[in-house]
Amino acid sequence: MTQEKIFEPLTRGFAACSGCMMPGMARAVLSGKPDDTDIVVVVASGCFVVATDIYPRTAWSGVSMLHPNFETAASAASALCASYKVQKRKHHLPNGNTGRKFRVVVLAGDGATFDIGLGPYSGMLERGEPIIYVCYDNGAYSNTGEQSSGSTPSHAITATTPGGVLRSEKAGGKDLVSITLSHPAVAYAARTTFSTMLPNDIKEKSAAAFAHDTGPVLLHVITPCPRGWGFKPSDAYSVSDLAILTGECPLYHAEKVGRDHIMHLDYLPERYLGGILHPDVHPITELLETQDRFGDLLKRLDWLADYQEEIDHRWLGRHGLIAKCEPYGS
Amino acid sequence: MTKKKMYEVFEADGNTMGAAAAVHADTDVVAAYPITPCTQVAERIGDHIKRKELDAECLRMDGEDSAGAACTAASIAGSRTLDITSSQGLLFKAQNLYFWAGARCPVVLLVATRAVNAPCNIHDDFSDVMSLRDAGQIMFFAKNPQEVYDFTLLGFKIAEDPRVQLPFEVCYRGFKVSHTMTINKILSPDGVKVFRPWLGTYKRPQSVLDFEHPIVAGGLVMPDYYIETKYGQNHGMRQVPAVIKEATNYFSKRFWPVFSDTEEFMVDDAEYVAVVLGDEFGMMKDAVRQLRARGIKAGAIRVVCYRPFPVKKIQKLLAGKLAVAVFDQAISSGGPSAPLCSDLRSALYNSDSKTPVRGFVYGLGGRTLELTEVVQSYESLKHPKKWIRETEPCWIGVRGGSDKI
Repeated sequence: MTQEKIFEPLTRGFAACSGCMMPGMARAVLSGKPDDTDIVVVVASGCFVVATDIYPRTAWSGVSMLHPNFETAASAASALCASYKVQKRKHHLPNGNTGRKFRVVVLAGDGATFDIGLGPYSGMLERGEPIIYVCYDNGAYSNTGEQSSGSTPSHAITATTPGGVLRSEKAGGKDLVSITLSHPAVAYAARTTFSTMLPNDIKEKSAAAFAHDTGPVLLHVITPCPRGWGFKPSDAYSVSDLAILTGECPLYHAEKVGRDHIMHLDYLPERYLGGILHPDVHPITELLETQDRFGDLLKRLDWLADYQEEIDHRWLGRHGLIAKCEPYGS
Repeated sequence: MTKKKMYEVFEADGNTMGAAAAVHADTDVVAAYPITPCTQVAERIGDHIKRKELDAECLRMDGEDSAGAACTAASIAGSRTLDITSSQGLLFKAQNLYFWAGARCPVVLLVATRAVNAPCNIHDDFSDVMSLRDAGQIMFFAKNPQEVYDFTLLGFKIAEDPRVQLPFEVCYRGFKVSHTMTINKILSPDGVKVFRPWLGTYKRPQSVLDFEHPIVAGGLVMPDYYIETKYGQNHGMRQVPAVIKEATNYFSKRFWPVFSDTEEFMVDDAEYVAVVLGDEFGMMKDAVRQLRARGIKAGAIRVVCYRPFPVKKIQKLLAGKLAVAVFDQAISSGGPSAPLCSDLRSALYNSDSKTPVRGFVYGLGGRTLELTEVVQSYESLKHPKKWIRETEPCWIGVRGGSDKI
């Protein structure tokens, strides 16, 4: 048996919190890089920069990393593509015209993507360079101390929503994949996470991301955060599994075919089997009970009902996932 | 054999001249966002690319901040990079100017200077560029379209010099220079053939596109190393005067004369001197002629290179003068004087000079500075007792204002 060659750009010295899913997330999303491709990684301000790069140490190895200002990772990524193109034409590339492929990979948190960097992100998607944009999403500004973001789940406790009052009822957070798919140039967009249930999902989507080189690609990775969510570091995987089972973390992807984005479900929770609601199967409380941030939510039956309705609607609503996606298993 | 002509005559405004310089400097990446009155630079560059006169990537950005960040990345990737902006646009991209200086990105930035909101105003003053005078970029003030062209060409040479590696800002007044047509010189095809090898291609010591030598750019630096990186950046700025001299000497000898730090008019024997930035120098010269005709020994200085500030040159030029008037088209509200005046007073304070300096504020939002106001300002210098105790600048030409020239 031949030893599989592994691309391992992140090595010792990764200073993430204990139980943080970010290092595994990064290694998994970069694992799909083909051997014939050179990459530059652009990292938006956030936990990732602080955890990998405090001068003179770095956890990066064998790949260049650029950290621009917080909100502009997407803008910088566009410019790297432009620079590569023009230097190739003018024969100015530092290593010469090698015939190898070039991709830019962006790693940005939910704050950098959903909120402050949404304009630049949209600009990048519209310009259409085949950038692989990875949004690692833990639903809060964890690096600055757990303030709420546009991705924070309804009724979760954060530093800026201490009572769990985030937004009005019947109003959830932003849907990044839908926003992304509103840009016709997008070649591929997927939502994934780490889990013991479906351990290969993230790796397969990484390979698909590198394979789609006709336009921008989004990998939206739900990344459990022990500190921010309030669970034991050893429980990260079981929290992920429950998020999938309860339908809180849907796994799906969209591919551009012709001028359409065709959406596919990668897992259909039992709760929504057959496109109908099975109210007793894996209710959302199973997931909420694992995390301190839902302490207030669990005490309020009206909020609990609202949040359960939000999740169910995400699947079964008129424009829900089951309506939008190709029939499951087809 | 006839001597090859290095230039040709070109009638154009400041924005068009900036674009022409971008072509002749073989720029790689332009990232810009529309804002009055600098927008034409990017439009003209687009035309040049379409006509295949320039091989560059012109990025359509979604905002000024994005454009600034795109320039950061392009420069760190080793591309010769140009950005263009004005007013609100400059302020929106402000953090990128600090980034360029700290990350040693020799981006050339053209600014058609303009007033800043509120109230909204599209006309000229220096409020925008002065608010970012300490971001770490080299700053040249052009007095006409010719200088927009010259300083843009020289900007790349100076900024990309391995001793410097800092951003270079060319400031020229919105509309008054950006949109005024003049007869100019630009490099002829033969001139370009001489200029390009001298300029060379931009060779960044470490590029993120050098896949054989990966780097981290923009990583976190804590108190144990931060001040050293800033010292390094400032050390680059300290090398700038010598690099400017080399570049302007070569350019003046090979092509046509250019200024390197200041321009003077009848300063040698002058008793009263006015100091100004940009094209208002022409008004100062008119005033000097009028005053000299009446027997008043007046002179005028234009600060061409504002950052690094030509401290020694200013000290030398103003030694022994009876009084100096500094004209600022920007304010530092609540401060003891406006930006240029503050710098000039600082430069004189530790010299032997006992010359009193009076600060004037003029032309905010594009109000015309009248020749009679300039002449009156000069005349006031003869009576320092009347203004020596002023704690802030004298505002000129304000309807209903209480300041007296």
